Amino acid sequence: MIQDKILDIEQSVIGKSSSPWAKEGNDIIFTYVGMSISLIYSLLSFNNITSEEGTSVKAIIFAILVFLATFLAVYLTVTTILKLSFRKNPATTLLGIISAWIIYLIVSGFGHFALIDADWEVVWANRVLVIVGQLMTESLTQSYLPNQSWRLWSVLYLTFAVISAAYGTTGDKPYKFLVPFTIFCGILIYIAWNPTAINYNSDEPVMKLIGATILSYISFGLSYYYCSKNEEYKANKLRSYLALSSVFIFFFAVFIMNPPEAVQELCADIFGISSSENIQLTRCGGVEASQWGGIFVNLIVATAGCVLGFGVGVVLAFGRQSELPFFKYPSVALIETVRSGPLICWLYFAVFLLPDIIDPFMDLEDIMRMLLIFGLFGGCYIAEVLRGGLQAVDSGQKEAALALGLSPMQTKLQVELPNAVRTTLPSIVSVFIGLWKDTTLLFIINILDFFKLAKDLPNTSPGYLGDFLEPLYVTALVFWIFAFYLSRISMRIEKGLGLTNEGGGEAA
Amino acid sequence: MSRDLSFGGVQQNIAYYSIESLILLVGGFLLISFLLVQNEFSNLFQSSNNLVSSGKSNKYDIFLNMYLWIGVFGILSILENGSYSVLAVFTALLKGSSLGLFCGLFVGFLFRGYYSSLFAMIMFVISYFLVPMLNLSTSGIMFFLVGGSVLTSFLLIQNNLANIFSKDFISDYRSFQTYIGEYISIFSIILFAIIAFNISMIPILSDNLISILSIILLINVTYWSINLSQEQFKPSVQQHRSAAIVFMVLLPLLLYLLLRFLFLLNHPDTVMRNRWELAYDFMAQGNTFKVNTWPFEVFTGSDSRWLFYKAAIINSARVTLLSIFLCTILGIIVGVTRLSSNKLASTLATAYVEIFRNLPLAVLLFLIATQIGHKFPLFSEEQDLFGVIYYSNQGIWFTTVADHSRIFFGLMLLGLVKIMMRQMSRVEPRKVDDSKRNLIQRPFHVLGWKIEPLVSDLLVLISIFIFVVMSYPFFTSATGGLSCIMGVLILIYSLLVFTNVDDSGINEMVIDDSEKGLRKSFIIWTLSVAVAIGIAISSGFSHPELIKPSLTSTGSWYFVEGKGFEITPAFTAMILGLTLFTASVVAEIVRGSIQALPRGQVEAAISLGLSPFQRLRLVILPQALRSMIPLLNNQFMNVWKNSSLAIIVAYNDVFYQFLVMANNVGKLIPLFLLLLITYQFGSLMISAIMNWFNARVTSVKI
Repeated sequence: MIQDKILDIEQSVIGKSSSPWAKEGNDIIFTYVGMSISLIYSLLSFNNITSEEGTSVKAIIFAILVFLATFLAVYLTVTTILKLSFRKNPATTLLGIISAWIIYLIVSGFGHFALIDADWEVVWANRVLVIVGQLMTESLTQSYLPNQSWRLWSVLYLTFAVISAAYGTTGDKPYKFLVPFTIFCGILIYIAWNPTAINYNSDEPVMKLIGATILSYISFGLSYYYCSKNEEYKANKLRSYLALSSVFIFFFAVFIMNPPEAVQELCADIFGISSSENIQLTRCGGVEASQWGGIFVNLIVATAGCVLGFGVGVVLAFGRQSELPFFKYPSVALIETVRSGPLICWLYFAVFLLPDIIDPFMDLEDIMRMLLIFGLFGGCYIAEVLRGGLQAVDSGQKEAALALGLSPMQTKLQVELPNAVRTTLPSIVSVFIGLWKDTTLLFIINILDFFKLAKDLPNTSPGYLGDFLEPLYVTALVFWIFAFYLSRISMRIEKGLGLTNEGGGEAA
Repeated sequence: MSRDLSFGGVQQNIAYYSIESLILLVGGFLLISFLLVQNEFSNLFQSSNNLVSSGKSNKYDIFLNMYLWIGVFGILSILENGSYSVLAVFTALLKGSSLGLFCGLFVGFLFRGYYSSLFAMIMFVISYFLVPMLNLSTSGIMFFLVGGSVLTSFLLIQNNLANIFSKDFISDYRSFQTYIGEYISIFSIILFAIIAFNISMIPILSDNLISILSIILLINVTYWSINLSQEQFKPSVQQHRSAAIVFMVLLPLLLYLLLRFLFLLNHPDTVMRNRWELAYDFMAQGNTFKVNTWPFEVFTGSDSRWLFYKAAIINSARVTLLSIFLCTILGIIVGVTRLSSNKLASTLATAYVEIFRNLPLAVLLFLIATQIGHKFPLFSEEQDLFGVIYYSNQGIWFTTVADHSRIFFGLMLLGLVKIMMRQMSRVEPRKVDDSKRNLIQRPFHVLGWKIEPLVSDLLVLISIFIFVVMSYPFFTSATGGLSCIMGVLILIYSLLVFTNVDDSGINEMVIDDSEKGLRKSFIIWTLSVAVAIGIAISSGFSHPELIKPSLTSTGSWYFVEGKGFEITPAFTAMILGLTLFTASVVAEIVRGSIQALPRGQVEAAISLGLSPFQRLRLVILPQALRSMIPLLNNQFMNVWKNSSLAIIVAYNDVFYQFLVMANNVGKLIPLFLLLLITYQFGSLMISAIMNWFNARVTSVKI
């Protein structure tokens, strides 16, 4: 039984045996010979590594990984030679062996870096900095600054609540959400829990994270209960409310981080802070946009790209579709101009030239202008995607809407747009993924986003000098995780909508 | 005329535009908006066939052809200008054709009876010529400009200008009840004219001009939005009024943007004016920073900024083209591997795609550049492979052939062999499409089916040769633009002839794939490749030569110029980053296109006894190519745009050049426009080539 399975797997990787000596019956003997040769060789390499790198836990893990990879590669190679498998189907054999050796190279090369060479302390010690930025970190540990972290916590609470409520409406089995989410929150709590740093009170963030987790459980439970008890249309209504509230969270985050001065003063009056004090140094002060930092900046800029971009995209897509030249030509001009240049052109535009144009209106800070330009840039790409969807809307839909007596505006917003969004949602999500990845470009214009902070980490302490690669790999991992998560969502939507035969969006 | 426009004690015209140009610009903007919202001009652009139905005689139709007006005035303007430099011709063309457009529209509106648009044009002309002569007070001119725009939006939403000139109204003007809208329009125009002349006598208005006009605008917007929401008009009127109300709402913003741009373009402060003034004379001056470009090297001080820009474009283009080439190959390999039955290989390919597709390119490039700096040996500890390739973190040096043109000749020889092989397997076509049988499209058609395709193949080879020879100076020196264009044109023409011959169906071939035939072609190819390599290396090799003036100080070491072949670390990092990233997307495209093929195709290929490689090359990929190309086109344009991230690895591309120049001279807007045009042009080129290729691939119907 096991022999058959081993042979099956082996044949699927390097093809069938084609030598005169290895036939149906004694095939397995040659496999065992190959395995034992490979085992001896890889045990030798295991021994080699442990004698070279010592017997610390990391070295042992590394040695085991290399042992496995070596075993696979050598075993496949030796067996191929013993059985002459390459004679019948050289392409498959070659692919299998090359893949095995590539895996060996990656494991031995990257594993050596990750487990032996690297000093991950540089990122671990600065993890609060890369998440919330310089000012927030300081205000967590220093007493001369007011603790403004509640602004971020309020945004986090809302986000968690809305996301978990949204998962509640999907109608999946509860454990499909609860298990990964609990693991995710566990990791977050582990990251927040730090007994060693001076002056850093780790109880507070841990308790707040636990609170956020419980809040999400509750909101998940409520929405799950609501959706399972009610009709489908009510669940749909809940979904649209949740979508609206995620838009609201974006504006709320921008507002709560740096409220307008009138609100700050009102707040100071309520809390009885005398006007002689500098309002910026009190809890009512708000955090100026230039002081934002860390992954929060990436998230808020990417969200701006999605939220503002979707609004701009809808307007421009309808503008481009319109028969009236007053709407059509300006939309085409705007879309084509913005799409003609790469994003960093527009980032420079936003930094150097946009202030000239909007200066008399308002004096925005860099990050605020980034929000605007990401919205515009994302909007133009979403407009192009939506246009494809709008063109694919069945004309019968429009005619039916007209026959029902809907006005042109109602037809557009209530009939055409939902149809177009439905077919193009996967492409829209891929635009969102692109925007999320593009937020790393903010470092070029000296905005202290995750990437910028991470790549400057080696300079924070003499002990970390020269550790350039570790923060970069962590950055890549963090951005990868978010993008991967979004791409899974996109695939899920694609599957759920059953769009394979409808078309409309770009397939890329 | 005075440029002074003080209002409420504050000078409003700090940029000091003359009154004429202010009226021209603001009025022109209003006129364009009016015509766009009114949407009568689009009827004039339709073909003249429709004119017959309007009942006018055909004799004067020629005057209603808008394109003719634009073209004639454009050419006249170029001739009148007399200067034939590129910029001058372009400006003259722009001016002439806009004048032509204006006149054409005027005549068209007049003869077709579109009186509202005509009225707007007349009003524009009158205000342009008359108002500067009328000696209006400064507040009068302010009112004229701002109030005029409010009046324009009001008349647009009233939508009854044409009725005023209609016979019904003139004959029946006394019925006040029916024509109340028309009377309001006329009254508002007259009121506007009266106030413009006498505004100084109404201090309430002149002191609070902007607030009063805003209130008027607000009242109008409220009234009309309530009116429109009741939907009591015809759909066409409703649509027109919706556009008008959007214009009314946007009017303050648009006016602000217009005036702000005007202000910035002629800013009183020199630094700001420098930043916004649209003039490119600074590009002709010498540049002051050093860049590392190849094959066209530019030198600080002596070469102008245009040349630096050209060298940077060549730098960008070569990194883009090489990445496109490599990522297509890698992407196809990975995409096909993902579908292979080999579990290990397909898992590895899936992992590759998922990892690189979701990585931010900026992080990837930075990581690769850092990794190269870390992993490669130091310059002082430079290592070599077999004495042929030397590598360190300063770059990679290859041994190369002494005379690069020999490689080219070797390739030409291979091309010749390919043509010969094609000729040998060519057979008499079954069906010939002779619809394109003329001297331009198929110049050799008299030669018959056997010789014509051979000659057209040879023509392509020769024109490639001519193209390389003619464009070589363009890519390596400051001149040669014209001969490069000539070379490109010759190449395009030869490809056109080639495709026409192909499309006519006389290029039919039967490839001998029996054992004997395959062996024969294998021998021929091996021999000719050997000969080609022999030609390439016949002039000997060129080894990289490292000079070490001081053995202890590595800073003094250098490689001799012109020996060996150098690849800089920045270039390596760019190629690696762009290729790895884009290949993951290309792999997904390839996979999707292959999966979209009907399953029967593969099964038929299997039952014909084709090997897996033959299946892929002869059946699957040619069909998958049809759905791949439009998507690949998008990705290739993305590669071109992503090449702007070269700034991360300090590779001297267009964007890098733009940035340093902008820092040096502060000419932000002209440089920014130049940059956008460059990227747009590159995207258009890629798109044009891919569309041509797409047309070739999809011309065969299946």
